[in-house]
Amino acid sequence: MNFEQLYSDFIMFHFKNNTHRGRLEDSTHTVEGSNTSCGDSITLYLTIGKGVVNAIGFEGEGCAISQASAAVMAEILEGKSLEEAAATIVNFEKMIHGEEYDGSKIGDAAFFEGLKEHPMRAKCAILPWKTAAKVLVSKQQKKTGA
Amino acid sequence: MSLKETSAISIKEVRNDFPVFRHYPSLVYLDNAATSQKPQSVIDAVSGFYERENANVHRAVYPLAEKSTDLYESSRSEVARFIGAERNELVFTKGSTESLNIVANALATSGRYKTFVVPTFEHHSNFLPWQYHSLKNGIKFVALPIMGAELTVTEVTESLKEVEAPFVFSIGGLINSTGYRTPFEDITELVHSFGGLTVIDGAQLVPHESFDFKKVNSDFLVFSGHKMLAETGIGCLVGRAELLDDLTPFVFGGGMVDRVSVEASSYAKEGTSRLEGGTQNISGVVSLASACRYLNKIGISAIHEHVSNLTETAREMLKEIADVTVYSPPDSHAILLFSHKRIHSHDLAEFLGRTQEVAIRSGHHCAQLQMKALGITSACRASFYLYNTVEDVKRLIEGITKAERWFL
Repeated sequence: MNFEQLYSDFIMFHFKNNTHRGRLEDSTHTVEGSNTSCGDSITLYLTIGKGVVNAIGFEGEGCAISQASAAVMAEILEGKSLEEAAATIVNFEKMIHGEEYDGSKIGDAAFFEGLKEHPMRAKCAILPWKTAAKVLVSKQQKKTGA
Repeated sequence: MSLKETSAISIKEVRNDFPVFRHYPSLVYLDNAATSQKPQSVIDAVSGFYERENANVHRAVYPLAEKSTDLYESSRSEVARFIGAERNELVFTKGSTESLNIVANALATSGRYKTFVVPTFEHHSNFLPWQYHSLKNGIKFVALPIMGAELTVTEVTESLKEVEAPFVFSIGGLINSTGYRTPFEDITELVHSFGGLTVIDGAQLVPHESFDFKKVNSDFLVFSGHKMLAETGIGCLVGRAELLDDLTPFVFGGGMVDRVSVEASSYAKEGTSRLEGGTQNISGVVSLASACRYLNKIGISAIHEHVSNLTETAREMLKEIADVTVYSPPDSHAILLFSHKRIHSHDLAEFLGRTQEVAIRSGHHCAQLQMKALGITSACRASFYLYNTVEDVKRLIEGITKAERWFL
């Protein structure tokens, strides 16, 4: 994968647009995650009510790929039920790890698929998803693939 | 600014010695602090060993085994000479990390030391073994705080006044993240005057600077082969002979035992083989001796001058880019740590690597406490060695300018 494919227009658009960036004052859950291999960190703010993920905001330092991935994740998960959100996260993790996944349910996150060939950068893309999983995915769901 | 073209070494001839540049003629390799490239002579020494001299060492009586044992032991003498030590003071290990683990484990379990002291600019290899073994054995662990990236002898003096002796002070010669050249000679003298032992981590220093173990008068020195043109998986633990003989082995097995019985076994009381349990990395040893010969042929002081010129040229040129911050202190060598205010270190390194064939490192460089002291989480690191050129430095700078056009 060359540089332009890795840093696609889609990824750069979401990196530069700053959507979902910032703390949510009315969040019900705050969760932190870090990438031990590079030192990057992220804080997610989630507003969850009546079994639905209503809003996600994020703060933190990271490369274009991790920041774009956080924005795209927020876009995709907002409005989903907790079950749907958990299934989506598990599906994304499978895609990034090069495992079999459900392509029909991945949406725009498919733009990150090529990163499975770049293990160091796959860690950047997965950081926000792994962090969200701490709140949204139970151990049982991880085990069974939701 | 004017670019100083170095004349310390014959750069064209040196580059011809490294096959990687034949395979990738436009590669700008600036990740030497992670590992160095290998000259043809080292590659030939390894393949020559496997073609003509391969047998296990110190075990069999047939001529081929004698040949490999001779080669192994003469390599020990050569490597020891390279750093001004005696052959009975040098133990072969997997590398600096393993050497530090051997020393930290043995000194911690000896029951003789009250405190372990390590500055916080150390990479994790020279921090975690001391922290782990001190906590496990009830020894006080002192992580010396640093201001920015440097540590002065005055600061060390003040800190040592509070440290309970006898203690062990472990310090890098050249710090892997910033290239800071520590005053380890003065610190060694100071530590001795306070009743402590010193361990010098020479992983970055030994490839770049002539080291005289006797003159420095350190108690231990560790270094790795792969950062100085040899194979990976080979390194050294150097120690004053009486101290080495006193270390509890880390690895038990063949080659280090005296008499074995079901009830209890006894181990070799002295000699380097006590600490070389199991079959060693013989080809690695051969490669390290060959690397020392090559470095001697070019001349360590010539390499130092060449790399110093490159470091200073790069430092000046980086400083001319408005958004770039250089974190390496003025007294740094071979390594420059820097970041761009508006481009994340991973994005910059990825751009340079994939579009410009400029290989640098990004991240925390296995030195999270040093990053914290600088107030950053990650940065870029460019590190130079004998085969780098002023043209390489120009390509790095041009690459950063192009990255600015792409990202911003």
